[in-house]
Amino acid sequence: MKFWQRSLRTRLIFLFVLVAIVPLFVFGFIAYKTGRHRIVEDTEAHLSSVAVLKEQEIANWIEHLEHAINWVASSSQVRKHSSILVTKEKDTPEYSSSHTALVDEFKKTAGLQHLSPVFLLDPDSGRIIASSHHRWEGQFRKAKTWFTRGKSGTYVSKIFHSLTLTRPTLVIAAPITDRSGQLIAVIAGHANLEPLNEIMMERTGLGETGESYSVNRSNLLLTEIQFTSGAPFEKWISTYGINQALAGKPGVSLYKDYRDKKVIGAYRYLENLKVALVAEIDQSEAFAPVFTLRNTVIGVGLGLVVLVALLGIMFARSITKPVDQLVLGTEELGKGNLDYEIEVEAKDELGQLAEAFNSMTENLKEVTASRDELEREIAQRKRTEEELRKKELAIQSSLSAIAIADKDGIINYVNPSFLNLWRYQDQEEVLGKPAIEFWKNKEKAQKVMKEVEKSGDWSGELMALRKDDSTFHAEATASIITDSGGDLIGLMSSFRDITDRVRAQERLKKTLSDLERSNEELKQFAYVASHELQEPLRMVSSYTRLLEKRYKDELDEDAREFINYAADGAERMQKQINDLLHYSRITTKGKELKPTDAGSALAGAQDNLKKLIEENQAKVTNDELPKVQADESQLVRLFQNLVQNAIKFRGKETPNVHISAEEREDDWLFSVSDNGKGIEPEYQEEIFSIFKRLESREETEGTGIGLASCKKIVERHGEEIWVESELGQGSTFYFTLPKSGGENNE
Amino acid sequence: MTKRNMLPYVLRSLSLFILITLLVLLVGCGGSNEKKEVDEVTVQLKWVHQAQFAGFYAAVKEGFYAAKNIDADLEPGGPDLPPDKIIENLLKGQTDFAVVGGDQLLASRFRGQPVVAISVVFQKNPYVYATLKSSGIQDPEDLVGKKVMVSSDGEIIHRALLDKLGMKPEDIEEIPFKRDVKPLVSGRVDAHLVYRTATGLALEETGKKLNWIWIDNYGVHFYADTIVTTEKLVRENPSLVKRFLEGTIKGWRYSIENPKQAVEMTLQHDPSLSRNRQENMMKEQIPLIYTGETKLGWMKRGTWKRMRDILLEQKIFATMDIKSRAKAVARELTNYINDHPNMTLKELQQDPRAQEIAVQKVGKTGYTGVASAKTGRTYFHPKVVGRDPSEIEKLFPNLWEIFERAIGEPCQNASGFYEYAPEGEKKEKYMYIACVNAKTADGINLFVSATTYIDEYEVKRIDIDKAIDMQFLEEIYGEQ
Repeated sequence: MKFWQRSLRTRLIFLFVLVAIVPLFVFGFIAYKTGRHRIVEDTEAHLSSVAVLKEQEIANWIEHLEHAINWVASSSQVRKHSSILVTKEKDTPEYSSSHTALVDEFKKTAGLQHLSPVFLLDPDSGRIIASSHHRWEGQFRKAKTWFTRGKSGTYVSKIFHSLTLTRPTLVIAAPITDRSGQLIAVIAGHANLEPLNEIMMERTGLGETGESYSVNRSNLLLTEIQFTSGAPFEKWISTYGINQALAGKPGVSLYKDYRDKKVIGAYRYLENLKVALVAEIDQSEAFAPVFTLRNTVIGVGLGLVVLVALLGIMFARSITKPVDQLVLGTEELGKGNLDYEIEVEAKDELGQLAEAFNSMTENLKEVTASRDELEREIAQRKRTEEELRKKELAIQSSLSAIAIADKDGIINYVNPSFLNLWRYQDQEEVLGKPAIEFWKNKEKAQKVMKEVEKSGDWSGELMALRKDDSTFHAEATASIITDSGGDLIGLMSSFRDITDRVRAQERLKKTLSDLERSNEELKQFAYVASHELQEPLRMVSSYTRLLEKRYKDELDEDAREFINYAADGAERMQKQINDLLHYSRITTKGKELKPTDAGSALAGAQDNLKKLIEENQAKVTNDELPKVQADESQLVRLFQNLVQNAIKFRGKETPNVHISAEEREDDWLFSVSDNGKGIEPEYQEEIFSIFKRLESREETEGTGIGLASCKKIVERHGEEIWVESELGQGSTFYFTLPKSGGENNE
Repeated sequence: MTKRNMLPYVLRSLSLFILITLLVLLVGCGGSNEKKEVDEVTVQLKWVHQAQFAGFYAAVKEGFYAAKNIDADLEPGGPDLPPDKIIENLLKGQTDFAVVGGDQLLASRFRGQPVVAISVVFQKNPYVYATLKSSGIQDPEDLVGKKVMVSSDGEIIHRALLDKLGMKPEDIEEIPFKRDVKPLVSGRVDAHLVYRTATGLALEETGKKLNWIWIDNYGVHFYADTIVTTEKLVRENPSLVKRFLEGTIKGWRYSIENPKQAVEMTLQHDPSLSRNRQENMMKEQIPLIYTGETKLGWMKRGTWKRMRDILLEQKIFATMDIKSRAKAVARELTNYINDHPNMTLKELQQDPRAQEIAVQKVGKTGYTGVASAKTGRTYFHPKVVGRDPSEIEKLFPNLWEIFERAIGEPCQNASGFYEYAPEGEKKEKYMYIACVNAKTADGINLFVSATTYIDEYEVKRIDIDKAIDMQFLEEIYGEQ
């Protein structure tokens, strides 16, 4: 939301704060800047003076050293002895006495003047020919700048590390000349740097965090520092201040020192020593008063901002509250709430506006009340009319015949369906007649009407009498019509022709009883047939076998064969009848379904098939099998038939049968899989039909009832059986059985 | 009304400004993110890993090379890698930079090898004569008539010092060198020329009070550890040379500022080193590397020139060449004997390949010979084979003196000048004897002697302006 679209209150508050802050911060900022500037200037001036002071002290120190060397160099004794040492041979007595004198002189100087050692150098070879410290004699300094420059005037060397002294030092060198200014030798002394360090370490006027130190042209630290480790000659310092000084631009600045801390530093370059000198103080210390000032300005400023914001909020509220109420009132009015009243507090223009609003709603409320009542009545009436019209239409178009009679039983309304059903042409033929005229049995009709009047409604069947005296079965419902007071004013009834239905019901009843009778006879026949056939067949079979056994030797080959065929046929028939008997018994003699362990049922089946299994060396395995809701003996038979089939229709390999069960949501899914021949897809449905054999009798024996029995058993349990197979790949028979104790035990 | 009109305008221009700023920043970043390919360089150090090379370790570990897009591989040297070999590998391109002694650079230039010094790490040479304080010996003149032990590497600077001071080698009794502190400590020798930062530290550790006589104090300014590369690299990739040098100098600066960490880094390269020794090495070498007089790594033409002049005057280049011939033959022969451990001395004498190795040319007219380290009898030589040692001793006493120094169990490398006058006019010869580090099947230890006339070597002036290249230091530090 853009600012100028924000609420009046927000804009007012913002304006207040803005008006308060801007001047406050402008003045605060100016005050801070001015204060800071003053303090920086003061600090800078102070540091500059410290730096200048130190520079002066160093200059004094150097001057003192130069003076000391020059004083020795200008001594006439030194000149004389030097000249002897340079010109005379080493082993002359003159040489040794001069040498001793010089060494004594040098020792004196060394003891007094912070110069140690002091020595004399041969101007050509740079060899040290006399020294206050003996071990320096014989060393060469020809390559040293201070030696070359020392031949023509007093010279101060850079600060460097001396291998002999094993510490940093500097050398002051000066020429020794004769009266005509001719160079005799060079005199030089190593300065002790302790005074320099002391000058730099002196912290007067540098506060808590101030320090000063010096650095050579390679940015190498020469004197000690305060705040981090780093001895002279072991630390390089390359800060802005140092680099400015080394570039020959002395000054004062704000920068970061070797600790990366913000400091104010004054820096100078000392030409004679070729070192940079800095005096630094932490900005945090130097600017402490500035920070206090800044914090005060910010603190007061923030306090004022809060105060002004609060004032702004209060003022804004006093203006916007009545306006908000007006807005709310208008919204309520728009919604139709005429009872809304604005509280009037203020007596100003906004208060008057609120009062005017209130009187306006009052007026509006009165006008609206009377008009509303009238409108409501008209609407009610319209609704009633509409409903009546709809009902009339519904009755007119109803498929049911509808008639209304007055309390005396005289018809005063019928709909078109009524005319159709009773085969009248026109309403006029019907209206005004007594209702009982339309029924075959007038007495019963009379009774029904009485019943309706008595109990309020009635429904039932009646035989109706048409105009042409034909009759039909009618289903009727009737009820009384009362006025608003509850007094009877008539009867209303509706009718349907149910002649067709009544006839159909009668036919169905007859067919059903015929069917039951024949079915029962059939079952009886099958059972009796198979049962009664058993006995004679057993006789045929056993006597044929007896014949074969007893007359074996007297019969020729053909006869024996024939007898064999006969016996076989009889046995097969016996078996077939047996199976058929079982098959018929599945439904007729089935036992109650109860929890049965499928595992023990399978074991029973395997027991029955022991011989077959052994003959074929078949392997029958199974997973753990569950308890199911089943008829145990039928379950044994189911497994027995399936396993038997699996072994009988074996392939070339040893038969392998595996039974497993898988729990599903509602039931158990069993599978019996084998590695047999498999079944072609087109026969996979048929095999479950009775007497269906896929193979000739020669290939395998069987009655063709096994799988039909299986199907019947599974179906009796209310479940399914099917097979999945591929030719040559074995088959898997699946069937489902209800879970034991579950809801599925139908 | 004005406010309503103003605000969108202000907002729009503000967002435009921010957008432009962001764009500029993005483009800026894109530019600096461009990745350069890293240059891989191999640096051959002069000796085994130790604090002597701390600056190089620091440059690697602290990322000073990486910041210059360099990935440096530091190869340690050692007894098996003589300076000649280091230069050879550098010229073959097996290494890109090497640390060698300043004298080695000049010797290579003398031989015409195109190597260039780009920076000097050790401004002052660490060679000192160590003497016992109790002996009172504190300057070179005190060495006259004393026993001094000088290594063959220290021979040059030793001779240069004697020459500078007008002393003769005969003034001093030179004792065969051992890398051992015992001779000085026990008083068997009076002075021992040592590296202050190596054997010097070992001497100090004995607890004896010592005097150090710095050769540098006597006008012999020899640059020590010097960073060299090839003329080819300077010509073809000067940026790489400059970047490498910048990284190295930063590494040295870091090491001097943080000696503890520098020693730590050294120990990471060789944990078997003694921390105490390395810390002392660091402490002692800092004043040699940074003297306060010049910038880190700086070098002076004048110093190089004086060094060259001293080496030329003393025929040191010639002696160095003879020495390197002797050492090379000794090395070859060692390998040959090790490869044929079943050959007796006699069989070797008759073996053509052994003959070929043993007798090689030195200079123009000289050659190498091979003798027994036990008796000094010569077995390979174009002329003197079979002569009795006593006969040689009588004929060439100066030569035999050098032989005598080498003879012994174990054999000692030895060298020396001697005068030789087969046709009347006496001429100076120099001989270097290098021991063969293997025994023949019949248990005989041999040494190789190389000798020839000194004046055979053409005294070439070495052009210092070609031998050193100041441009990189000058660019890094700005013209001084």
